[in-house]
Amino acid sequence: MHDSLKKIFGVDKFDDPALPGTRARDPGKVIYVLLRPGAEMLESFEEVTAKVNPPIPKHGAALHEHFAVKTPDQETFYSIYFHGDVEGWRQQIELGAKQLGLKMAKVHEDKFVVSEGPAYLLLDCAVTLDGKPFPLPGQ
Amino acid sequence: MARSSPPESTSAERRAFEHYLRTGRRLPSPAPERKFNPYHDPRNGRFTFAPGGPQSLQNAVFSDRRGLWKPKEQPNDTAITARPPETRELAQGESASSQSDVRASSSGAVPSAEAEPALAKIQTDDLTIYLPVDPRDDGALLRISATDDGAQYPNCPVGGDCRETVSVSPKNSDEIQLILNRYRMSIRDYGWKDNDLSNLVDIRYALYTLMEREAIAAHIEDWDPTRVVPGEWIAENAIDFDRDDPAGPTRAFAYLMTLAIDGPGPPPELFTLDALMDPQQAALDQAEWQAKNAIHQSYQAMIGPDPIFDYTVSVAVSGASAKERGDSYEVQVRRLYGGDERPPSFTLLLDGKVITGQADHVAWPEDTSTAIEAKYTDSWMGTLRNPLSVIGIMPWSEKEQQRMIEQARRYSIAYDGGAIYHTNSFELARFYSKAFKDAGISKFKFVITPIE
Repeated sequence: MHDSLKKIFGVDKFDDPALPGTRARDPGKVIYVLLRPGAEMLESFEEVTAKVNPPIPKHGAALHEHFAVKTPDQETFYSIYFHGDVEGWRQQIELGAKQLGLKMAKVHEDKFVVSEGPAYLLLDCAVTLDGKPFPLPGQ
Repeated sequence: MARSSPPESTSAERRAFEHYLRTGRRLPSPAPERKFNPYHDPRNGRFTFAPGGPQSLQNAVFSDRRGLWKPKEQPNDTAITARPPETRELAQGESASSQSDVRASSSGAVPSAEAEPALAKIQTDDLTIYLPVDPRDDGALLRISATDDGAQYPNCPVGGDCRETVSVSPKNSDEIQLILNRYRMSIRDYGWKDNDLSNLVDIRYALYTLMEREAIAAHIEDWDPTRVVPGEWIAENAIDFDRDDPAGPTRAFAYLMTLAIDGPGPPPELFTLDALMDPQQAALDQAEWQAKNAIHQSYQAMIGPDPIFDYTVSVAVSGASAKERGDSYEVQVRRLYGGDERPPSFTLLLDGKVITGQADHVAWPEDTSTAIEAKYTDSWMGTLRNPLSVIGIMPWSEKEQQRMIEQARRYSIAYDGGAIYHTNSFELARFYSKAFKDAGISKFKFVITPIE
């Protein structure tokens, strides 16, 4: 990060990438959705977020940040971060995933909790960012 | 601009006679003629000539218009070399260097190319210009031209009164825009200082000699200063050029545009010893300032403020085609942020529709997502993003211009922090700043990232 950018943005620091669900901005704004074997993450993201029509949220957006978590049971989940009409987006994503028959998960403290399923220690999971390994602190 | 201004050589008597012929009325008793000439010595009021003269269109020369600040010693720096005054002028038609060609002479040591970067210093290739900074700062304080305040600034790297002469042979107008932008930023941050108005005129004069006419016209639109003050006043006070001098109209235009964009600076002080000793002169000075300020106010009301842009270090671009250079520019901008990974995709709702997209990069300044976009252009007058360009009126160009605005709207929704647009083109930044605002978009910022 070039120092001149900090002055331009008027900030002291830029945040490095961190696992969605563990960041200060995340509480209530991140849902992990199961990626079907062989499916493209971006296509799945678009399918889930656009499934419910007309859309529920009134404003704001959902972001696919290319983070994925692979559990010890070899299931891969990708993250969706949303903001603006947070409640509307939460319903939009949860309903879309449910209609598509996809499991969801969330990060809770040091665990990766799958809906109606087991909870794993994050340290036992393999995290990737844009397909590349993203070791968590302690891994 | 009024074209009826008499040539410099026209006498007051002849002008009075022409006025009588036109109006049938005699002018009141002749008053001392008051004209603006940026090349006067404020210490004794004598007119002087611009260094380089009217033929130096390819060789913009900043300051040392009075030749007062000749070097005490020849710098032995290879990056910045002293050039004797008689070699400053390029013959008309002689091409300037393809690279930035900067020579400086100063009253003292010339900044070394190896010197550590200092506050308020522009450095592009071998171009080094120190700009005025607050005297209280510890940074460099070199003036582009003479100061009149006589102060001895302790932080002046050359010692004494910090007078510096810099001449620049820029390779394109963007380099001049960068200098002008930085200079205006220094005025914004530290206030007006003595010779700033003249310096701004000098820089704009250099700029307008390099800009294409259509691009200059975009800065004026329908603004007409004669609606504010009489054309005759403008002819006699705001512009002062010889029609035989090919540089005259450009310099006059630079002066008017400086008044319009930056204003005349602070008003003359009323309660000074000089003003009290000569109240008539003080009143005339006030009236003149008011007229100039009226020009400034009318431009601000009609065209709006001319934005000052933040800027970053320059980046190197490569590629055989404009598209390749644009792609290269995008990569370099992303690297400024220390990132080369794929940025987040987004889905958002716009007018009830779900839309997906992806910015060139996403930064998280203090936990706020911000889209980063790179917009490179080889030439503003040759890009389809410019509606005033040759191809800008084509249907596909209009589509691209609209796409720019829609993209900004999407980013402002998708990202909490909106979008930062990096561009190498001041004209693009200026045009789309206004276009985005006019479209009701507020979460954006243009940043200049020059190319090496």
